[in-house]
Amino acid sequence: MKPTTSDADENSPDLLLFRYVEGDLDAAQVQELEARLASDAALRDELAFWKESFAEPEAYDTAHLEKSLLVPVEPRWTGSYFGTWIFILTLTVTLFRPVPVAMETRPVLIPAPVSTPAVADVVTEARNPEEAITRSRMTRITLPFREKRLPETIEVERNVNESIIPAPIPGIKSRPPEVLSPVAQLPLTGIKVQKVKPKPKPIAVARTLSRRQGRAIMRMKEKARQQRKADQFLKGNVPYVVPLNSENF
Amino acid sequence: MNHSIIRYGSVLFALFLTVSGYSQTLPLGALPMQYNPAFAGEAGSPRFSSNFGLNAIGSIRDNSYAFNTSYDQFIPAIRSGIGFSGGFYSTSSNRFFSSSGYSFALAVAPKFSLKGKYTVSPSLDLSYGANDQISKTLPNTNSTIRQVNGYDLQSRAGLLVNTRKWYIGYSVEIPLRNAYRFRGFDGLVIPPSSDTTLTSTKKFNSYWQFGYTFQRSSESKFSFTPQVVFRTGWDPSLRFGRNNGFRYLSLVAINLNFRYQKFIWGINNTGIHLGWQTDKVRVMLSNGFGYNGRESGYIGNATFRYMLKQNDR
Repeated sequence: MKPTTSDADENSPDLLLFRYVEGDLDAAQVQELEARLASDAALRDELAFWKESFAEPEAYDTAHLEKSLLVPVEPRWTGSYFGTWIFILTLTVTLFRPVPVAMETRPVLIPAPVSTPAVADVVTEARNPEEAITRSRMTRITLPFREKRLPETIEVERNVNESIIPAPIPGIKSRPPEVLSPVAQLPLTGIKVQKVKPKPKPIAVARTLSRRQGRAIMRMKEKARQQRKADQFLKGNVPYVVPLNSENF
Repeated sequence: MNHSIIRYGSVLFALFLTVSGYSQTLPLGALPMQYNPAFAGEAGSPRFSSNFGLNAIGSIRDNSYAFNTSYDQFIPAIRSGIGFSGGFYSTSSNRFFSSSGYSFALAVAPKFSLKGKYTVSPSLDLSYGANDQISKTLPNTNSTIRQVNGYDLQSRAGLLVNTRKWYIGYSVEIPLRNAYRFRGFDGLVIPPSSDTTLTSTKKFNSYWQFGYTFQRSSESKFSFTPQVVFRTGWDPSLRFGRNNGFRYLSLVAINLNFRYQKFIWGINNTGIHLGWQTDKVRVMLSNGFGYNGRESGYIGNATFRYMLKQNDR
């Protein structure tokens, strides 16, 4: 039986380093360990190893679930303008085409085993002997016509307290088995998944302009503004003369 | 129809109001055609301008007042601007001397637009002015009173180049007729005589006028607009030795105008001004001190301008 963390020595260097890398130590322990790291080169090497061999296990392997349960989505069609209309037309025809509804029930008549009618039946259905024979030979049943409906919710059961032992990841340097300390062989319970919040990418990077650049931009804007007014003059949208600015003169 | 009535009514109003010959100093810009007739129609819209000035100088209240007005507009059919201006003045409170007069002028200024950015406008105007100068009875004497009637007929040729932001103007006075008539003699100082007419001298007067707007962009709230007028001329009647005449260059008028949104303030040749100005309306008051050679006093001017913009018609 493998030892658990509760049974291990809390002051073991390997366990401390492991918890340090995991971020499970409290502030006092961190301070103490960092003091030791500052003076102990071997401990720093050990810490480097722990940092190097740190790996994030996947919490769930949902790939096969997604593949089996989710409906694959067609890649977004991006075509030309004409192609877009073709796509919309096709989509419209497809949507309004009569499609059998899922879970539709239809009455199906299945011939029942042939049996000799009793004399009493013949007597009671004497008005229409043929109908009586037919009704006696048919049985009305209901069968599911098509059943491919996906479940709305999927429940996956998992024991939270079960131990997860990370498998060695190829490509990561690991220590030979004979050198592993007992603490390293401890089962890891409740592996914490590190969540790194991605920084939002800025939409537009603000530039800091110098005063000279600002004045140059302002001059360009003013020049464009005057050009627009000049164009209006040439188009005859305003009187023929270019007046002085009556707000200033 | 109604707009036409207003337009031509304003023209007639300006024509019949016509009056004065700018005998009194006006704030630069109060009347657009004061120094250069090429400003007629420059705004592209009908424009009515007026100014009322009052001088109160000295202990004896050497008062004078003047009212000047002008109207100009651009006529697209002939691509020219026309303008009427006029005014009257009166200096009457002095015990020894009084004078009054009026004048009016008509200007035509064809417009040529270059690339939609520049306007080049030559111009020509014709003006007529008349004035009466009366010397009153001197105290404790039998003296002499003389009355001088003068009239002045002249023309001006001008050129204006402008954008929305700046302008350069030049105009030349062309004297056609300048005469004085003496009459109404009484007393001993001046012997009786028949009416005398003096023909004009061959003076040459020209005006340079500049204006520029300092503004970060055409939509900025703040702007600074300096305007200046220089006069340069030649008077052959003033000879010194072998000189052909007296040449001169002088600063005639100035206007340093600041504007923030619709408020304007600054300094002009009549004093400090303060006012409110939009692209249609300007109301401005100028206050300053004047000096008549002996005493100083108050000079005040009230300026009003209204433009009938395109979107109003």
